[in-house]
Amino acid sequence: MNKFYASFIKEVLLLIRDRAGIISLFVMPIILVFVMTVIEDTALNSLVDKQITMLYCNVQNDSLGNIIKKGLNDTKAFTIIDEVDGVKLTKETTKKLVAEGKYPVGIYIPNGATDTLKSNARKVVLKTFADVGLGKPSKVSPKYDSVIIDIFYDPAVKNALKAVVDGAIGQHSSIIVGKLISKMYTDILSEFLPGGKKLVVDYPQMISVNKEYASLPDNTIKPNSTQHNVPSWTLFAMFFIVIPLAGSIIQEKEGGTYLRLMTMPKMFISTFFGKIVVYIIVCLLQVIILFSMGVYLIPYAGLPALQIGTHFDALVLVVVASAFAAVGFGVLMGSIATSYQQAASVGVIIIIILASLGGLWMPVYFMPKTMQGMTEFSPLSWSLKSFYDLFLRNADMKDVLPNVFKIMMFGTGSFMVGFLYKAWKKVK
Amino acid sequence: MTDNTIIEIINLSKTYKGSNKPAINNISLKIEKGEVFGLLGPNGAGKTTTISILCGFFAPSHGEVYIDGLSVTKDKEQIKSIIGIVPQEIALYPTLTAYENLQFIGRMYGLKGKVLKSRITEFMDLLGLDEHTNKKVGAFSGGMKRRVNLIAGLLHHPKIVFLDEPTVGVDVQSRNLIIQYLYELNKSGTTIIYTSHYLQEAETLCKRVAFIDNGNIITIGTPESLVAGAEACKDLESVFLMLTGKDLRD
Repeated sequence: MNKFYASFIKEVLLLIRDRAGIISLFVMPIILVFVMTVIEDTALNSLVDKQITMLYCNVQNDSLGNIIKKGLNDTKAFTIIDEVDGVKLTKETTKKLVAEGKYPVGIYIPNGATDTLKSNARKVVLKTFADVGLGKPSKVSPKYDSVIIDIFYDPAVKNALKAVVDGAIGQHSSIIVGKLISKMYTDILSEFLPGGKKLVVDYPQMISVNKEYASLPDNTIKPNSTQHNVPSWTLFAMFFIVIPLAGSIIQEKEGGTYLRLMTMPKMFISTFFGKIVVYIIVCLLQVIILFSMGVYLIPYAGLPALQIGTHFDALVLVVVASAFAAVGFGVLMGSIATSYQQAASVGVIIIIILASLGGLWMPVYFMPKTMQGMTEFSPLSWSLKSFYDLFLRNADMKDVLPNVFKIMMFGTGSFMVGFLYKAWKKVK
Repeated sequence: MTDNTIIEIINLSKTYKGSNKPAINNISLKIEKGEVFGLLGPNGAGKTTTISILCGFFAPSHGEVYIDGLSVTKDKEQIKSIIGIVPQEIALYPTLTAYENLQFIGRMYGLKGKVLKSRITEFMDLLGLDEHTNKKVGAFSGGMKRRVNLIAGLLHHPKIVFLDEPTVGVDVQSRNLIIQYLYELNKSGTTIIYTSHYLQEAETLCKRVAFIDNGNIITIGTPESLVAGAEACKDLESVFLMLTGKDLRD
């Protein structure tokens, strides 16, 4: 126990005096988690949750324009403005501002659009009645005036955003056209009713859509940038432990302290455990700090707070297993690499690859189908999936056990390969 | 093994994997209790390999080694507690203070509490480092680092000390202090196995020396007998050059 304590204290002292190590383990991840959460909040939620500023030019305050504007407002996807710097928009200024890349989208409602629509609707209805012998027959087909709504898009705008705007305009135009025609029918039919009676048709809501996120019962947590980025970058930071840990192992090898340690009685278990316990504690501290940041600090940036689910025991298990895997990977790199530079560069590249494959940089469903199958080969993916299960799907201990098992196997395998390689090198 | 023999090497060979040339080749020798034994040779001669096997760091390819009656292959853990090693490298943590380094090493040898503290203080005083106990080793001069490196190998009062180039790269004053201390240590009964390129130092310190080259022991004897036995050689260095040649070694 005295030897374990000695090794533990030594590792703690070495770590707290390694300023670069402390920065890479704690300061950089804090910045990384915060920055990535804020940045990806815009990227991930640009279609739905984050409002996009839209120019809206409805010069004559036309009712068609107002109805479309209300419809776009109801999507909650847009902040609609009709003047810039106190100046009312015109068709030309709307197009120019979008072309300059200052706004992603602009809409121009032409003058007299509603009157044109009403006129068209009246012509349609009168022609229909005339065709069935009601009203005045006309030998000439009526001429319809088309209403042209201009939508200006920034070339950089995503197709998905275009679809939202096009869909909203198409939907609300159809609604207003439908309403105008039905109103026209009722108005004209009323002219045929005796006693000046008015025909009233009440159109009930025939279709309603229920939208919700699919998750297990009792869970109302919505996926968002915080729920993705905080666990993702926390895992990334945990695996970044490869730099100080592998560095510590290699410096001992290069500096001769390893030779001295190897000549001490019963040193292996005590020094080994002293080292890994310290680094596992570091990983746990990273999780506590970064998750606390997600819960308490991120909301100050106007982002949703991290929700850590309700199964704390399962969360602790996933965190400890992930820490074990991260430390195992550090030991593996420290054993195999022949220099600090090699461990740092190769280790970091491997982590970046595993993080990319694991869906840490972007959610797996954004990846091409071929790459989605590759996520199964990343231990970071197993950990992230477990966090998703706990945070978004209200999973419990038994749900995360399969992934925890894989994470533990990865950690154990890393330790074993590292030790076997060391033993092989010693025999060699 | 006689009663007075503390180290016995029998037909010891070591060939590293991937090499067809043995680093040490069928060497045999005996070292007596309380002896200061010099293992001298040019670069790549096999000195460090021999010491590494004696310390249990490497397994031999062939042969047997007994230390205080214990086999280095079978009784490794017991041997570790009776030997001390002062490696050629400064095997210390530069960001820890001298005290923290020695405290860690002492605890790893099972020392603790007042005993450990008093030993650290005693050694630091003896080697002129008492004012630097709480300074980081990384800030020490080469000589100071060597002295702390030496203390680290002696803190647990080993029966046998292996010194691999203990004075390399230090100033004359530090070297003198280290050599003086090693004299005192030997007087108290500690056996010292010593390698160095400073043959003058070996000549004054060692009771016997072995010249090793290309993995073979080429001669063993007291410095005086080796000098006397070589014609036209006035000191150990000239004997060494006569036996190992003047060709540069890698």
